[in-house]
Amino acid sequence: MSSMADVSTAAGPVRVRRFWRASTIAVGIVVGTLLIALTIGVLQTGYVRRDIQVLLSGQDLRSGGWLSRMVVHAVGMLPNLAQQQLVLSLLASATSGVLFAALYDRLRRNGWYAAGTIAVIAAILAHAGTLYTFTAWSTAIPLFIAFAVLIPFIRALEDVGDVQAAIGLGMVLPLLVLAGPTPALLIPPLAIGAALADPDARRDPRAFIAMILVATLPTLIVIFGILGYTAQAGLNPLDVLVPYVATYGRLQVGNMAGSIATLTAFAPCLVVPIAYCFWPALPERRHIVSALAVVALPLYLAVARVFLNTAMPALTPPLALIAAMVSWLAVVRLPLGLRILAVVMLVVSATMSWVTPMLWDDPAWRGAMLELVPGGSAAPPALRPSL
Amino acid sequence: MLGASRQQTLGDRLHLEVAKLLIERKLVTLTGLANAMRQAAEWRSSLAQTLIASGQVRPVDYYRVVAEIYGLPFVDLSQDPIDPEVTEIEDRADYPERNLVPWRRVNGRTILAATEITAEHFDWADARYGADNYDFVITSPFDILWETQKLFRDWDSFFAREALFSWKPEHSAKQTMTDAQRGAGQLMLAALLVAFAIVPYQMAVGLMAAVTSLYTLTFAFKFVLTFIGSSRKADMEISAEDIASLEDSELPVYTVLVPMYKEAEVLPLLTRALKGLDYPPSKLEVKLVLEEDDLETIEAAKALKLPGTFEIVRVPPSQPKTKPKACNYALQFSRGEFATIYDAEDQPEPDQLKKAVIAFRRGDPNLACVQGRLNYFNRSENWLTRMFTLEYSQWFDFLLPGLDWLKVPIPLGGTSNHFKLAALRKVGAWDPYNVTEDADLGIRLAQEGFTVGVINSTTYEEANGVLPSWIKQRSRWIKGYMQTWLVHMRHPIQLWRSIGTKGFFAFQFFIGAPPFTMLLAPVLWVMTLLIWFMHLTNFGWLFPEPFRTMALFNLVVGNLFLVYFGVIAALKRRYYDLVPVGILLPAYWVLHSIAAYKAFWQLIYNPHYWEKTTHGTSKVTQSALEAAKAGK
Repeated sequence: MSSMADVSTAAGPVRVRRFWRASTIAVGIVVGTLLIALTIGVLQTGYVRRDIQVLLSGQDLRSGGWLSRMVVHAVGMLPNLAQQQLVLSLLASATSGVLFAALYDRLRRNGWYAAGTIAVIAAILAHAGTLYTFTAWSTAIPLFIAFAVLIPFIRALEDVGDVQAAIGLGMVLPLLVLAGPTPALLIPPLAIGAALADPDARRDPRAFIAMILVATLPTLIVIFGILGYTAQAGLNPLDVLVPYVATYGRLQVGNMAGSIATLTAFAPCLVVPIAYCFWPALPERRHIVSALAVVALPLYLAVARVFLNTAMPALTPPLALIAAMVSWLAVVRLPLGLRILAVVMLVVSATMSWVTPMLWDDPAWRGAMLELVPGGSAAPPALRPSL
Repeated sequence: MLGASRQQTLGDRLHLEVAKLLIERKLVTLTGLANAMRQAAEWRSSLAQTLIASGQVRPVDYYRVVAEIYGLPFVDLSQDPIDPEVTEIEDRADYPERNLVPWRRVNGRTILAATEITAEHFDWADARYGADNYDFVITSPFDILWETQKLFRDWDSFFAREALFSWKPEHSAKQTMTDAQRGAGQLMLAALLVAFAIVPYQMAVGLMAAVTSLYTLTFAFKFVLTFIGSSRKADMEISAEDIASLEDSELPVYTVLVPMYKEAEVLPLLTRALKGLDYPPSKLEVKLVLEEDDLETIEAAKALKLPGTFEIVRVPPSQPKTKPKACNYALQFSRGEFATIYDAEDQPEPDQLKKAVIAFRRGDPNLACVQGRLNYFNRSENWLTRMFTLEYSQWFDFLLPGLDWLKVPIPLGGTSNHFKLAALRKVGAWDPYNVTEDADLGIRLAQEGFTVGVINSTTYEEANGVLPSWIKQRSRWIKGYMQTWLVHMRHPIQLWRSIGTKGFFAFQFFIGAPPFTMLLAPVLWVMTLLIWFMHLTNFGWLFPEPFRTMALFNLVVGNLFLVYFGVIAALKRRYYDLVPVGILLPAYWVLHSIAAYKAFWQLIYNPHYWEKTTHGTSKVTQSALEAAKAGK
């Protein structure tokens, strides 16, 4: 394990960088524009977004993904399908522009070279799941954001352990409620974990209860907020419980091996945080908990979607893993070897997403996408025999 | 006989000669002298200061011997007072600073009373009286201080009251509102009433929209401050190693002002805490600033037989009778490079002065003040003290560091603010007409281009656990915030230019908005109760979208998050027992609103009245006093 002296030498002088640098803005604009162009191209083929389909079927009220439901519901107020699709696509693309700009900035701040940073962004963008998320089904974006934000706060608790880290984690946990019933189940173990991260809480029961309260109160506040808005909308507050009862009420046993295989097939980059735990000479003190959280949280999703009655697509856990991993890359200091491994594995993930037999079922989108590729064909490529 | 030649400026030799005589006369022991000499060398203080500050010799005895060495008479100025005719008001500040004062005129020659004779004294006297037109006698520095205070009593008192108003009337709260402000206020009120008469529905909706937006923005601002302030990076950390690396010899003279009124009870505790400060006594100047008519406290202070570090400053009676006026008065006799203020019941951490010195040395040249954190030693006494502790913890551990990090003006806390004395004087010191002079001073410092920091040293105070007393104290604070906002909003564009856009908005949300929201809160509570529980009136029309959603957000999410911020305030200090109690904070907000209405009433009818806080009521203070009296 490296010493603190090594860390300071490796870190070098810290330069203050402004977020709104030309390159950051350029990345945001390029990514946003690219995704808008793709989305519009897909829509012009006559494809109807999956989230809009769900909205039209009236199933959105039963998802329990309050944030996405709010957005989709707001978009649903627009008069016609074309406008709804366009606005939702623009919103998703603009969000992605900001998120990728933030990622670029964080990676660069964290010592990544421009080439490596752009390679990471390009690999993520090239992932079929990413494109599907932004152009066809954006309802999982809050979940990806929640995972991406969770990782730095778990690391902050592990590393700094100050009050800001405790508050930060407490503030992020409600995102899991807003993201849906399945990730909401992560709140109790994460709250207990956050409490146990405090040395006092491990010794003193009063401190433990205090830390649990600090971690869970924001979630309770947000739940109160949801109930308040439900009441204001003239709905029965008990309706809020419907998605949870539906999700937790009927446990089942599905194909767990298949779900985990999907996770590893679509996101083989999970080897990077695992390798970090054993890599011999790191330029920082090793933070194993946050590294393992990058793998464990999406793994939970992969397992939960098998046991719980959820409509979560198989693609969601691997994409959540990619979101968690790039967020982790933005805060961890990796040696060059691990950085190269990260880029390579992200490229492999992207490649696998196109060549692995696709486990989600949306041939219309795939056809629309391939029509955009010069010389592409709506016919399924030979590399994907199962579809 | 009175003459002193320029060759008599003995320099360092003087004190050695004095020491010899003191030993010969058994006024000082050899061991005591050896210790004092070692300390004087370590602290780079004069032997006189060291011996007197450590209480080994009385000032009068020391300076009698000095007079003997010089071969000059010693004059006790209280017995043989200064002739007012020979003093000059222009030189008033020089007298205590240089330790000399013109005493009398004898045969056309001016006799100067001084504590020693130096080349600078000759230069000073030459410039005023011409060479060889004066003679010297010796006296003690305390004689000079006390007698010049008597002599310039009226002037000093006037200066303490009116200096800021004379210099910058627009920065003084002597007038609560200027004519222009009053006129603008009346005009706005009239316009509002007319608009209500013409378009009542639209006006009501517009006003509620404005109020709703204000609440949302205030919440957002507090959220940002709390989050930033909770980071370890926001703390100006000064470690034990930093303090250990300080050389006592390089420490400057530090003035500690302790304004008190009718607080004889807690004096033993205060003096014990101040004696416990880790700072060379010879470089410490503690001024107990007492009102002249407060004979009980003056007698109690005398009875404690305090060492030479302590001195009593008697403030002449005049209106307004406020703490800032008393501090301004005492400031005129302060000689430190830095100065701080403590309240009567304060228990500062021993290393606080050293931490402040380090902060000033590390800070940029414009750093004029560092604020110590305040907290309470009797937090578990009752519900009110618990709430008060949570509130103070949030204020000093989260919000002020947050403001510091954002580089916006910081409203100072009432005590434990440490100043560069020169900067403090430059901005006109405290406003004696403002009842939260501390908060006002923070804004004025920022306006004059100075900065304020927060250090990681705590002063423990007594939380006010008696409800009527709490209401009084809080109403004064809220009234002071109202005064401060009105004073600095006299020239809003000038304020914006001087503290910047970020600072301007921080000022609005931190100083201006809280009293307003406290006044408004009961109105909104009543409306909410009517809607929810009594179904008397449907106020839905008042909140069209998006303000309806914002109002619901404020009511549920905003308020509950404000409770959450109160709860987490306990974390930094590991007051885990306060975490569950924090859920009761909304009841505490009701008390704030009651105090706000009292404050508003007083702002109109008695703006400069200082609601005195009674200290020493806590059981913790009482038992500490018992222990102090028992000498534990």
